[in-house]
Amino acid sequence: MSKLSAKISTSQDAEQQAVSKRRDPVPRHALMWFFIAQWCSILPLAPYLPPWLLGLGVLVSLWRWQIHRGAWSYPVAWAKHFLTLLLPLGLYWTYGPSVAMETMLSLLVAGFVLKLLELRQHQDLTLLSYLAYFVASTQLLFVETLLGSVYALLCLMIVTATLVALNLPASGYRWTRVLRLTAVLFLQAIPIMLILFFVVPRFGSMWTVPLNNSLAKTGVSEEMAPGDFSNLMRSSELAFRVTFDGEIPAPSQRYWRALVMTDFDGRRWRVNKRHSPHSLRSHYEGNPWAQAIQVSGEPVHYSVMLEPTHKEWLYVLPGVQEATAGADETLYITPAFTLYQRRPVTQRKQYQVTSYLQHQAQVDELPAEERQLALQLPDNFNPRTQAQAIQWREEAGSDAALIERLLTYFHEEFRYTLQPPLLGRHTADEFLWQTRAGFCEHFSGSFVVFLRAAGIPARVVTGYQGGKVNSNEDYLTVRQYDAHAWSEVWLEGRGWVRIDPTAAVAPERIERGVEYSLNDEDSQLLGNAFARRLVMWGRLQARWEELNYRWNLWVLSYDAETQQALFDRWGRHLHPWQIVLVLITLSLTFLLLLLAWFLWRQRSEPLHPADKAYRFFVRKLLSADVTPLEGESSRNFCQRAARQLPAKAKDIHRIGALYEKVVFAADASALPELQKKVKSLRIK
Amino acid sequence: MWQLAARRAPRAAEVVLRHRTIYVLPSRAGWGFLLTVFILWLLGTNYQNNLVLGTSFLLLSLFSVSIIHAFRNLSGLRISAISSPPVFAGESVNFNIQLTPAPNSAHSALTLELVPHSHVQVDLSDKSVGLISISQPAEQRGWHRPDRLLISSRYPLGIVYAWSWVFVDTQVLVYPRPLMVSRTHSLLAEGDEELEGQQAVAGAMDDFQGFIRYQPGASPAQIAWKQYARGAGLHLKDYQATLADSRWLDYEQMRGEMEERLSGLCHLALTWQQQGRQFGLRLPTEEISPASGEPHLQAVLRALALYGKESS
Repeated sequence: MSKLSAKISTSQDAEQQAVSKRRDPVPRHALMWFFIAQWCSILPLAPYLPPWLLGLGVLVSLWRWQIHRGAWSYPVAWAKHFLTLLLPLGLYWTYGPSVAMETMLSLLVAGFVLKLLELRQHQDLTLLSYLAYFVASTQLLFVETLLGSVYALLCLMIVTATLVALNLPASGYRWTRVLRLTAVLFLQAIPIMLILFFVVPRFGSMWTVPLNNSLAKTGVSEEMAPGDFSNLMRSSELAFRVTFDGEIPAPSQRYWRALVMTDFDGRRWRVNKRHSPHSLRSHYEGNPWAQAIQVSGEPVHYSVMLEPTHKEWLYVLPGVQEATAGADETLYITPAFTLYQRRPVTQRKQYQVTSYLQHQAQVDELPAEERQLALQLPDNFNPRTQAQAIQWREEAGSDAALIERLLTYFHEEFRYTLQPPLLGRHTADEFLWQTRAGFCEHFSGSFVVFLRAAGIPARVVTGYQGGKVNSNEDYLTVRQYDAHAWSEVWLEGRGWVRIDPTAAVAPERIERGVEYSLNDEDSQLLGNAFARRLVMWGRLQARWEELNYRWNLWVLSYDAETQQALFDRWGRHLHPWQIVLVLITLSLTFLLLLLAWFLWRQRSEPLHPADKAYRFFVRKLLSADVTPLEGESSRNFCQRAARQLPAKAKDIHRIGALYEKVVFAADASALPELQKKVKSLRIK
Repeated sequence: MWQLAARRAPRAAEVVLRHRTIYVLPSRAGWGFLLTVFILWLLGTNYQNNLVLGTSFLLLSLFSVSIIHAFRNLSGLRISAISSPPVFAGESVNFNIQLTPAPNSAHSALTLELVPHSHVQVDLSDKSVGLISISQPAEQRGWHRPDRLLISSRYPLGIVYAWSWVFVDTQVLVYPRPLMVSRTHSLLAEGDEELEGQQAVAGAMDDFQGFIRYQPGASPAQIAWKQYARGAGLHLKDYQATLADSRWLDYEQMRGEMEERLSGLCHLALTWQQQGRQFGLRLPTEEISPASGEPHLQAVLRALALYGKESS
């Protein structure tokens, strides 16, 4: 009825159409959508790309736009070859010969950008849109937060909108239509995506392209030189989160060890090869070194979710006995009782550990090579400390008494500050006897140098200390500013004993956290100091982090093992493939339901109630052999029926009149009477 | 493939696209899309990145959803033929087709194609009725039916190709190709009593009537070269006798093959009609008594078009 507007289209010669296609190959609106999609997806990658590439991208986009406007023409062949040659040179100039993730990324983006100059046809824009999908997805390799994921989803939607716009005829284009269709497609696709996400089996990685160092986040590193930690402490970035199976240990117990450093060259502390798994991996199968720890007391079970560090080591509480991280990853406990995995942690990683906080390590005897490592000192460094150590050792009488005296000296004479005076060649000498101001790395380093000089095996341990318990969740958040260094000393009959000289100087650092141990000036140096002091903001931040935490827990760390656990929970007696079958059936069912809904919408429009009543009336008259004629109006039909059934003439006329009133005079008030009359009409 | 479709979708004056006649497959761009999905899956698997994996699953879901949308886009579309005017052989038949959307449905970005002759694009996204005219060359006189009509769409993302072959039962009459009968092809059989002394037939140089459009087969002597040289295009000088009495278009009096004769008669009928004469038609099988006017002309042309053909 309402289909009065009709359009008329006529065919054109194929040839003529080909000519018109050549004139305007890519519709303007699709091109606009594409530009938006392109820059939205490149934007989050910008920090990892050389600036000149972004400049080139802007230039090429402008160029293509001018081509579209008809102002400029496509680049000539040699110009294109020139650009194609220039590109690898530029990348070489920026990155050097190594092929790392960033180089690949730049190459991808460069191709994505330059391809625009070859955008001549409909199909080219399709190809470019696929590239845009790819580029939009690569940002997820770098940003995994909830917000970043929502942004990436938005990018994918804009790329899809480009495809939608490209496939709509110019006459039917409206941007609202494109947006609506895109939104509908996504809303319908997301349930199937969720099913696929949880069901499709996961495989291990096939190859690795190393990520460049600049991609690595701040964090504890293999070396400790003066100043390293103060940089770390300026960052409030998340290091890891921990959930405990029971009570959370007290702050003074929360020493998250990562690296044990024994090699000292006068300035830097380094991890010895023996204590990293690179050379001795096969010796660690079955974790023999865990047996060198004698445990007592209750075990602590906890699960750590580590942010990507691009390093191999992991963070554990001391006294580690067991550590697992999914089926395809073996964790190794080193002879220094630290935990490593084989590959760098490039993704957020979850692992489960059992530690015994009460333990004794290598209590019976210290192997000769360990002892040698723990006593090594470079020649011609720190002469005053060496002399003083020998003198104090003689005066103290025992190792314990010597340590006691040194800690007392620290406690009485030293100041904790993040802005210590600079140190020269003899770092320990200058720190211990002149400046007497510094933070963990100074305390632990000079402490170890002093003890070694006195003949006591000692080493530096780095990692994090403390962490904040989230008030809503039973988990602990450890941030970069919790980075810490402390010492371990081997004592006869007690094994390796943790001694934190920082605790002697600034006990509140250990008990309450680094922000309570500093004066106002130093606090400014801490990452995000201002925010942590505003309560409201802090609460909001906590909420947001909780959301992010759940995102990490449910989405990012969903792996083959979680998948298996989920299958086990749903159907104990089903094979995994049977579950997969069930869920694929589910997604097909979803698709079929969608189809059914579409077809249901296509059914004829429902009859008007008056028509329904009238139809009922006609059916009643049929039983009296009054059949409506083709093209007969309701009035004529009623008159004829009344003539044939004089007994009911009054009713029939009334019904006819009511029907006309409802339908032609649009008077809905007559409808109930019409329905009643039809219902009560008795023919026989 | 379309033969199978022909069996499943017999010719009818009105066709509604249903699941039995709609086919959906990935388009070439669709295979590219699936390749993108696969590469993303590899990337996600390799970097153990659930979000990139999720992206590949999302795109795969988008693909499957767009299959449904592509099907829906064709489903329920009603294709009906409406009458199309007759043409002369050598021209193109234009089939007029009406596309009625299913209730509450939009059918977007449709391409209708009369394989392999021509195609039309139409968008019924505002749920309106579409009228299209699609052409097919007509070389022979007689009834012409459309070849198989291909209705296809790459809606919504261009990654899925949905199509249906439709066999619309409609026909268009194609008249014989009107050919000027030159002097050497005298219309008159020699010794024809009835027409003796009446020299005025087509091509007789009696009276200059004006210019008519060039028609293939005309003798060079008739071409208006002067006008042609002025750039006015090819025209013929039209000389006609001015006789007002009724005449017969007689098949038997023509020379040449059957098609030549019919073409000549067709041309004569058109010119005589133009001159407002009364004329009748005599075919070996049929006779139309002399008359004039548009309906008469059409009856004559129709008889010429269908002469010797099975009436259908």
